[in-house]
Amino acid sequence: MNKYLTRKEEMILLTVFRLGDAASLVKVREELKYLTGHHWSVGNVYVTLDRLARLGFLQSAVGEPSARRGGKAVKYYHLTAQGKEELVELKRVHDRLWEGLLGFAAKD
Amino acid sequence: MKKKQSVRPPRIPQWVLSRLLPQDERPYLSGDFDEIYSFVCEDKGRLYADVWYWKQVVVSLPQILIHPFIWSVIMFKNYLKMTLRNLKKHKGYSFLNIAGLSVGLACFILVLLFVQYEFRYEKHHINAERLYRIIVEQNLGDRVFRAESSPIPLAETLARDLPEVEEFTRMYPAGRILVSYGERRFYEDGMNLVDPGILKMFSFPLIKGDPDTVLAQKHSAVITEEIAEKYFGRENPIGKTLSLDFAVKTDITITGVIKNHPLTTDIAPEILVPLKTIEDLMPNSERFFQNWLSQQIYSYIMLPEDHSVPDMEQKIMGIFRRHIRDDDRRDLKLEQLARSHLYSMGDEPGLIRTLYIFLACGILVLVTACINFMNLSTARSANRAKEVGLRKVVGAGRRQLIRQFMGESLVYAIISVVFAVVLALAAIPVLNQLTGQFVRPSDMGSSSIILVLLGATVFTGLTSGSYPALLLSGLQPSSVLRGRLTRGARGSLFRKVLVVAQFSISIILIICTMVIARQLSFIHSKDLGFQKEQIVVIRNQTGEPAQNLEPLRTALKQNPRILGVAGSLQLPSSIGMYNNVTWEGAKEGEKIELIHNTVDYDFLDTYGITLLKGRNFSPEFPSDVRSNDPQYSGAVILNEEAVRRFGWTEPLGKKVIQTYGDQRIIFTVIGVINDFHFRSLRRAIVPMNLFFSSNDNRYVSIKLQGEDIPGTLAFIEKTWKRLYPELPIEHFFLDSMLERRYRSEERQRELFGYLSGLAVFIACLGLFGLAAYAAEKRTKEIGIRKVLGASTSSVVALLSREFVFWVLAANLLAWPVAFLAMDRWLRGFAYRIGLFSQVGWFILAALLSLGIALITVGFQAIKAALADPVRSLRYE
Repeated sequence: MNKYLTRKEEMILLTVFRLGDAASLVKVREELKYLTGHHWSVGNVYVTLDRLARLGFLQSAVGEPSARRGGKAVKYYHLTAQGKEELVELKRVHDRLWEGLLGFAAKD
Repeated sequence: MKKKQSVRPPRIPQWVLSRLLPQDERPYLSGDFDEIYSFVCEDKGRLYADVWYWKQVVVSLPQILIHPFIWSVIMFKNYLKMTLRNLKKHKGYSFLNIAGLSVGLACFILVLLFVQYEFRYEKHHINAERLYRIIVEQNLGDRVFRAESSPIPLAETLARDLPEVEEFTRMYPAGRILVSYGERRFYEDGMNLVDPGILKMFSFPLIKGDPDTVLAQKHSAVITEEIAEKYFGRENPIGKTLSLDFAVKTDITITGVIKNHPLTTDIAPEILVPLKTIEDLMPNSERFFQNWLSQQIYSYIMLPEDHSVPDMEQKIMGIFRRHIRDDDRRDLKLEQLARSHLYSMGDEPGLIRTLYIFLACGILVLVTACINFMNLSTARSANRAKEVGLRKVVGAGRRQLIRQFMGESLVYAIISVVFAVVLALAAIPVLNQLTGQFVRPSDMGSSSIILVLLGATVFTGLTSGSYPALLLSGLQPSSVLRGRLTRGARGSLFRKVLVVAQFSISIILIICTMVIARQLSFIHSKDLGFQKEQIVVIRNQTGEPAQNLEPLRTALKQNPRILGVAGSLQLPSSIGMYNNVTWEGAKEGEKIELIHNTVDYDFLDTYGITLLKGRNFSPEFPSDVRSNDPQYSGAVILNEEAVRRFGWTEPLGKKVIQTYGDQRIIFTVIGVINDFHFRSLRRAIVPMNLFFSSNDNRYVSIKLQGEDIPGTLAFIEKTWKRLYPELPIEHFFLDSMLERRYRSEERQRELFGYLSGLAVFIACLGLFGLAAYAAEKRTKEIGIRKVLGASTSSVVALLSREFVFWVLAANLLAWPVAFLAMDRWLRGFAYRIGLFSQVGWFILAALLSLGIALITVGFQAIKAALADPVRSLRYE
């Protein structure tokens, strides 16, 4: 894999991972708001989720419709094996990159 | 109402979303939107939630919509590859497709350039929207007469009495004047007497001089750069003096120089002199400045930004009424400068209608080119059917296929646009010649043209791709791959009708071109009744030779190559002045308009006009000289038509009576001349007479022998300069001036020539598509026929027969239309060719169209007929 995910994609992929099986677009958006303190537009979240799905990191499944949704079905996303691998790889690269920063800060 | 029941989101954005969201994601996404909406609603209340929902439409929807396109890029690469491969593989088809579209688009571009040029008129004036010309309308009962000129005191009075009028100017064209600076003398037509306000109203950028004072003094003048250069060369013109000679002689001092006017303007004064100057030139100028009756001046006023035209017109009328008599029926109207070029043409609806017709034609040509493209693509669809089948089998959806074919024709359209721009650039000189405009290649770079062109490209690509796209994407993969192609007669009738229509138009245009050319050659070869060849005319408005031609005549006659010198008030080819006369033997009160010209003794001889009866004017009869003495009784020479009209059998010695109000002048007929054509051939010969005068020589006609014309011309110029060193000489050949008279007809012929070429080309493309389609449909039939022993020629005949029929049908449609159109056109000429004698041209047009059609079809037919029958039978 020579192409890295953007920071936004990374954040959303992690959020889906945190939510486990309950990762609908609405839930992802709420969680992101809770974690980052910012509003995320539906379009923004959807586009990223869809891109991740097309890249093969996410898979979607159709859930039950509900009255709150105007009788329309919900789509859940969950990580594929490839998605999990990607996260592990990301974490590894990140740890290396961040190594030493705190020590540097302490010395200062 | 139960509170628990979830609230519905606002309707409009919900509807927008449900329409626009990508189809396969629609239920989930709109569900997501609704869910969040209901949460927000519970948290923050309905209003907030509604606003949120609206905001999502604006913020999220574009992202969601653009998103899939990024993914299509990968697929697009594949489509592009296929398109380019197809383009290369079928070079002939691609060429025809692109050529057809290019020509259509180039035509469209040229029309756009033409229209744009006309729309640019007066737009360079910053105040164009606020400047108004006051025009005068007079109801004559059966029609309204509009004059663009208005009474002299009007504009000044309005500016004084109406606070809304911010500025005013009058423009009084001085006509042709002789301007001189030292040795440099030229005739100028562009002098205008104006008010100082003109420089604040019109955008005439002042290069030299102070805008507030340049026109403040009498006898000051502002000139254009061109005039400055013409008289002063590189010297600084400011403070220099020009001498003017128009009825009176006076001097003006240059106080300012303005930039040259752009070509797209109808208002281009070249020498601006304050109107007040007239006070010094005219003996009773107060009467001139207070004359509310006559209309001799153009009046312009400038209104504030927020003006109302009807209100202003009412106020202006109120003031106008105070100064005119009660029975004066004149009405004043305001004509905006920005609209003046396109909408005002006196009584006519204006140029704008012509422009719309041209635009419509341009669009028509483009649409026809698009339909041809569809024709060709559909004909070719069999080649693509397998590809479509395969794509469908591996999972391509119908939408994807439509997108692919649309994209393909878009690529064609883009390539065509490139060629079209090149073609149009090359055709700009032709356009200028046809329209008399001065379009430059750089005009194509204007933002409006580029925008329209982009739009046209997309439109062309999408419309011309739509039919093949829908047709091909609807194919059943199973049947296509099994090799059974079901192509019905769907649309084939439509295509035939189209081809017939295209051919009819071509035939009409061909016939028009031929008939116009015939009429023009008839005009040029027609004997006008006077000699027009080898006659040099000197135009001479003022000065000595107009009063007395004798010195010049004597000097010129020294040269044996000069056969005659005649002076006249008007040229024999353009006589237009008339008097109301009555005649001996007329009924009580019977009057006719008698056209007249004033000539000298040598006029008839110089022009070779035949004297049928009586005698020419002669110095032996002093009474021949015309005078305005009330007791005077002079001599006239009539044309045959006048004698006929008066009903005289023996015209010599009869009397013609001219009436000026209560004054009567009696003339005696001394001679009768042949009916020569003294006006253009559009108009019939009417009664005409000649008076004698030796001091009205506005035109000096010199008959040359025909040998060493340049030398003789040089002699004439030299003699003129020697005799009248202060007068510039302006001369031209009579026959070349007469040819220019039919310039608009020449232009029509050229236009029709180009149009018919274009129409034939487009029709051939259509026919080619149709023939290719037919040949392909009958591939198997032809194979079987050949196996059974049919000859190549019989197969060619089989395939061509149908098309011959269609082209003949097109001829039958076209003939009556062309006949009626040309009959109407020819009626514009009093002297014309008979249309029935031109039947040969109709038949020639038919043969021509048939020949062209056969060549087009024959190409396909021969290809089909020569094909190996074994292959044809294996086909499908």
